[in-house]
Amino acid sequence: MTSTARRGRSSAVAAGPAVLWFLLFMIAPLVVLFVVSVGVRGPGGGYLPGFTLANYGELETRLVPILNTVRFSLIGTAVTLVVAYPLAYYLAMKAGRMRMVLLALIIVPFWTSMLIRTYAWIFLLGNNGIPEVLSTLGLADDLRLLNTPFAIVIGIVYNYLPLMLLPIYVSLERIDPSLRAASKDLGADRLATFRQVTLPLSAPGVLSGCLLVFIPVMGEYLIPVLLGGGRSYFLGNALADLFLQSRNWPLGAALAGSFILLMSFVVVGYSRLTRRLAGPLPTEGVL
Amino acid sequence: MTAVTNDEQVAEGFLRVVGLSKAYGDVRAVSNVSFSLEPGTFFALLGPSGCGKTTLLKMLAGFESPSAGEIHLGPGEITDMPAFRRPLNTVFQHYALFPHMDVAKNVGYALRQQRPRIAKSEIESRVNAALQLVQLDHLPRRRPSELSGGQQQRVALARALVAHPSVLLLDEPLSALDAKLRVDMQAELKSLQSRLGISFIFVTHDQGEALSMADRIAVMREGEIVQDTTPMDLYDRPADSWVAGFIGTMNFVAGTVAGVSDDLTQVETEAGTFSGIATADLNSGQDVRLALRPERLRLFAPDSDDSKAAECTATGVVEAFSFHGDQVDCTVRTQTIGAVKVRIPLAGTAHEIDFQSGGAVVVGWNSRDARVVPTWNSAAKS
Ligand SMILES: Nc1ncnc2c1ncn2[C@@H]1O[C@H](COP(=O)(O)OP(=O)(O)OP(=O)(O)O)[C@@H](O)[C@H]1O
Ligand SMILES: [Mg+2]
Repeated sequence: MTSTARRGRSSAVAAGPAVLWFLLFMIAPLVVLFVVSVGVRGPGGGYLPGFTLANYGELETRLVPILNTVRFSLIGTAVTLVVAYPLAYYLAMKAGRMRMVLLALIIVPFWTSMLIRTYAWIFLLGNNGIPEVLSTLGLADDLRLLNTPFAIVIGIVYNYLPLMLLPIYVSLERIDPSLRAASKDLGADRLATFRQVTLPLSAPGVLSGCLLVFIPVMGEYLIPVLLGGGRSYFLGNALADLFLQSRNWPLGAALAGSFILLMSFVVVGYSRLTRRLAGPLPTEGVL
Repeated sequence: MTAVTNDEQVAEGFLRVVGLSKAYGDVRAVSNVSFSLEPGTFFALLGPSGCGKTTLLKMLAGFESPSAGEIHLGPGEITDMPAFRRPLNTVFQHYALFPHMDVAKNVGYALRQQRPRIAKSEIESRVNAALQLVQLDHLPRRRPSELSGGQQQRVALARALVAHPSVLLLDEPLSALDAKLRVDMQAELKSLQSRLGISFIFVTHDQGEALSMADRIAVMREGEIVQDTTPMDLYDRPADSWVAGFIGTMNFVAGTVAGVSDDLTQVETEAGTFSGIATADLNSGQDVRLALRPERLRLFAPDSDDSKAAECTATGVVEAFSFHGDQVDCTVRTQTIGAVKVRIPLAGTAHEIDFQSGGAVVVGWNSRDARVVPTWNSAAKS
């Protein structure tokens, strides 16, 4: 009894710095955000203290970027999954000795800045890039790729591929090969084995990969600006405008706060759901 | 059991393997293996690590394609049939139970793959029957991770048996169990096999397991079957010195064949000429070993008259000694044939013998209890 109590106290002491850190960097900004969100816009922009919920009422004027963001995040995550799964499957099951080299080839580009990588796509998708190649080959004329929703999805898939690929790869690689052998032994062909054994056992990787991609894409700012030409306005762009252009800090704070709240619900709900489907995720406790 | 070799109508579960080989690059994992199995045979594949047992089993199951040779099952050939079509099922060494399915789902897996589909109610009753067979029908909703090793083993068995395979392949199925459970499962497997009447091909590197369970044992060495016979014959008449040393305990005296008279073969050794029963065709002058089982030897006090009754004797001193209640194992350092392991029952003459370390004794045996086996050495072969 006493030893448990002592252990409890000493662990509380040990956790002290962590708690402090948490308060300083997680709770305090949220408090500031909330205080600003119930204030009023100053005459020349910025923030004046006050208490009003009007900013939250005004949120519906920003519905378009919110819906845009959700839509592109869902589509982007889905397409990333479709691209990453076969790749991860190949790496885990078929690549043999090449697998480390191939993994490195996929990951190393991501050590460079996201800005540079996205600029590269501006060139590739721009009029002198892929469209030019296609028209020279006589395959398509006057194709526009840059500044389209398509370009945004490409940007999302390219930039977030490793976040999807790695968890799926790990979960596939962990599957004992004798399970697939057993499945075939018991009368299932390759497709039936994939459907009944490989896919369900890789579900934890798929589910955490989706979460890892979905969350940062929801906060994406760069891709819609550079590849979408600013036409498809994301939440991140709306926030940047509110704070930097129209300098309506309270409305921006209300938007950001609601967004954080929404994402918290999404993450918690998703974790609950997947835990029921596939057990605790590898990402649990991180997100 | 019916004789099927000359029969037009080959029995359903009759397995015939002809000249089966598998090479991985330069490694000949299995080379030129042939055997036939009557339905209902408990067939053990016994051999040291790396001798190709698993590879042979994988070819039978269809996980590896042979480099050469044929596999026939019943009236048809299955050499090139994909694994999922073969009417053979496997119990894997580490069970390979599907972790995301409960016991009933695991066991019913083979039935759910069959086309045309089997009715749900029939699947349920067959799963239940299979679980009853292994006494696990009270745990259908458990996940494999919630089962003990022995229970997982039973689920793996039920899963492999539910579709009524004509041959069951088992790759060291008991190696992950502790000693006590192992003995229980040995008896259970054996009784299950005789109740079902199908062939079991049982891979093991535990010779005790093979001797006690199998109807027939194939001893493998470097990818080949060296000897394929009944456990008693294998123990009594090992085909060469390697098999003789691999199965049980054996004392060897090196020599060459000096001659043959009646059914005895004379062996010339450094300690003189001894006789024994040859277990293979031998040529005069061939390198052989005189092989003596410890339990075929007798011990006498040095001045005892009884020792005259033994055809061959060697005097020596007791070097080591262990007592097992009903019997005594001791090592005797002889003057003529080196160290000899002897196992004698405690009933009888044992009380006259001085088992103290250093005590003088006489080791004796009859020629009919000695075997003459060809010497095997790996270097000479390759
Ligand atoms: N996929 C493979 N590639 C190359 N060599 C292999 C492969 N599988 C097995 N071998 C080799 O073939 C030989 C036989 O292997 P196998 O697994 O059949 O042995 P085993 O008798 O089952 O041994 P153990 O008792 O240790 O399980 C070994 O020398 C092994 O190294
Ligand atoms: Mg093996």
